[in-house]
Amino acid sequence: MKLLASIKKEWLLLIRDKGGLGILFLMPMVLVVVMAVVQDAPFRDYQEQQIPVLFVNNDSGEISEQIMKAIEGGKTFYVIDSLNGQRLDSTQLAKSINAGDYQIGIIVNQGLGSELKQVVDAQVDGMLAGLMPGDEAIEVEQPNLEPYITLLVDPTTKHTFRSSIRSAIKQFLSKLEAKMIVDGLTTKLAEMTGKTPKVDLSSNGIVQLRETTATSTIMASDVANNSTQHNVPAWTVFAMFFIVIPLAGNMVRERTAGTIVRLRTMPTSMFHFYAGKLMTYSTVGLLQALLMISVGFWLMPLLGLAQLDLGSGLIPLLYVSVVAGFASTGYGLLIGTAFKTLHQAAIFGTVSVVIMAALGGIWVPLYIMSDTMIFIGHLSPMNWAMEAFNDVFLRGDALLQIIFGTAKLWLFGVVCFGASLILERNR
Amino acid sequence: MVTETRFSAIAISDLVHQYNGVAQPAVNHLNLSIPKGAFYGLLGPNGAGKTTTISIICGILKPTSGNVSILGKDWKTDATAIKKSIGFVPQEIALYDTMTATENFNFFGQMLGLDRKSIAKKADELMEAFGLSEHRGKQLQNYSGGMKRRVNLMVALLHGPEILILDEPTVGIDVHSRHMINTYLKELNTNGMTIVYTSHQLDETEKLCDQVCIIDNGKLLIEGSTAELISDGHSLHHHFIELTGKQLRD
Repeated sequence: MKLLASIKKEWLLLIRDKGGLGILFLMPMVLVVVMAVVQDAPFRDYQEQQIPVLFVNNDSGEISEQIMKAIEGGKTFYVIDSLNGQRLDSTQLAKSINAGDYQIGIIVNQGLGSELKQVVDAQVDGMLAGLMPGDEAIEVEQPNLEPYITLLVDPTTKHTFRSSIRSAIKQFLSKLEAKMIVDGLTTKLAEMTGKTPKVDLSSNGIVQLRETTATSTIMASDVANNSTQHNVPAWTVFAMFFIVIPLAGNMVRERTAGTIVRLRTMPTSMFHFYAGKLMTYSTVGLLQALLMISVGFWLMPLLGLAQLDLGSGLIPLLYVSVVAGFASTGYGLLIGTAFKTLHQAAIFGTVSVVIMAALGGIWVPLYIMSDTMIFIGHLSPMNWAMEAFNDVFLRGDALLQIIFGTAKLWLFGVVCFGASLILERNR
Repeated sequence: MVTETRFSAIAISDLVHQYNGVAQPAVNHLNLSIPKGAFYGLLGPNGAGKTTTISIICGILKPTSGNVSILGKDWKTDATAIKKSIGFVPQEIALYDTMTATENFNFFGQMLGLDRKSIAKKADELMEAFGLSEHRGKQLQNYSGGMKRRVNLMVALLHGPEILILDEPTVGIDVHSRHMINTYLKELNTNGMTIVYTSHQLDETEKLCDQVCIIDNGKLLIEGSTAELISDGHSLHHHFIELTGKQLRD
């Protein structure tokens, strides 16, 4: 009866607090959409998106044409060789990259084709020299040439982006060189033997890389960690812990208004008062999670983003949402009890949630951090909640595994709740 | 040392309360006996220890030493019984502003352990008595200061307590609301309710209270019947200034 009265009171206060509702539901919804859209590009594979490349061909030979075709043929880049209707030259290219209008430029230097052909021919001659019966072993002189193409990169681009581009260009240059050597060898062998050997160069190499994601058997298929799969759980956890602001604010207001003092003079335990808050705001956490999941499932595809894959399914997801809501509400109760003024509670609450989010891998994945930071990150309850969501979304864990994995979150919530009651009793 | 009698509603013996980090005790070996059925004025300048004393009587604060007995019961052993017998009206409007008067009654009534039926009955009676029947569905944020003060008092009366403790219940309100509250309190007292009342409105206290005490620096300066105190022809205001001095207390 008292617990129900307390829950009803919390709901009445909550639904009539328009600003608080905005913080709890609207703000995280906007946040998750904005972050998913912004982070969509970095999350996509470089093979998946086409990057514009400024291209200047100062060589008129066939080889440079092949380089250009190879660049265009690969799905990574699309070639721009003229701007504003005018053919690009090396100076304009450098200017555009320097201005930050484009991130990459490739200049094929004059004579590259002939130099490359000379080097390849010399290598082929060297390989075949003295192989035919009656031939003398002769040393084939290698030309003193170092053919190169110039790659210009915007200084603001990240190291990982540069590495990806460099390896993509090196990959197609290697293929081109290999093809030229094989073509040279084939031609020479045909000349020497009068027969044309059949050569089948597999475009993907001989040894294949079979990549698979280490998920549980419950998953029907692998789920890619795209922008939607990362951002929905990350910002759901963030929003759930941001509950600390309206919750702690309400509690401080109640204390300032004297309602808590009034309750302490009544024949009731403060447990009912706190439990009412815990149950109400845990339900709010669940509703937040459902809203965010709905955004990921229905709204994000409409915005051109990947649809949220529910991983192990809705029941484990609801379970994780309840646990995360319980833990975040427990934390909010503790902040609301520990601090005397709204100002203190709001500042500490906000800063602590941001720190826990940063440490917990909400913004940047933990695995790229140092060992010390990874250790600290694993102490963040937001990391536990995030990992629990990832267990459902990406690892496809079954409910039983998830229940075991979320014990820390339950414990955190219970400890915070108990500490709040003790603090209130000793106030 | 106060001797507790079967007529005492509240008996305070050698009460001391010391706040952490403050050298002077807020309540310093205070002894009081508030008879059953009294309309008792607990008076004193700012910082005298009135609110601390009331907080200890209501169980909000634990005393550093000494004893408080309510209707012969001890806080340590009979806390729930004591809480059922007292109604507390805090100085602040201790209500939920975005809830209606009815919603506030329902919440606090249920926390007092009442069922919804008896809450509704008592709320109707009180709303009628305080002239708020037609405003029951409005959120309190739309009430005037006087209306809020009335609801603040009504919540403390929901369970029909034997003792009503009021900490400056009429501060900052209009004349009509003040008159209505004071008239109702007088009526409750006439019907047998013990009322403990703190106020800086000494004229009002003189009219309402049949017993008064004046405390300062946590110590009792005088205690007795109001009629006896002013029988020398001087007002309560005069005695208050005489006993506590003219120095400002900010």
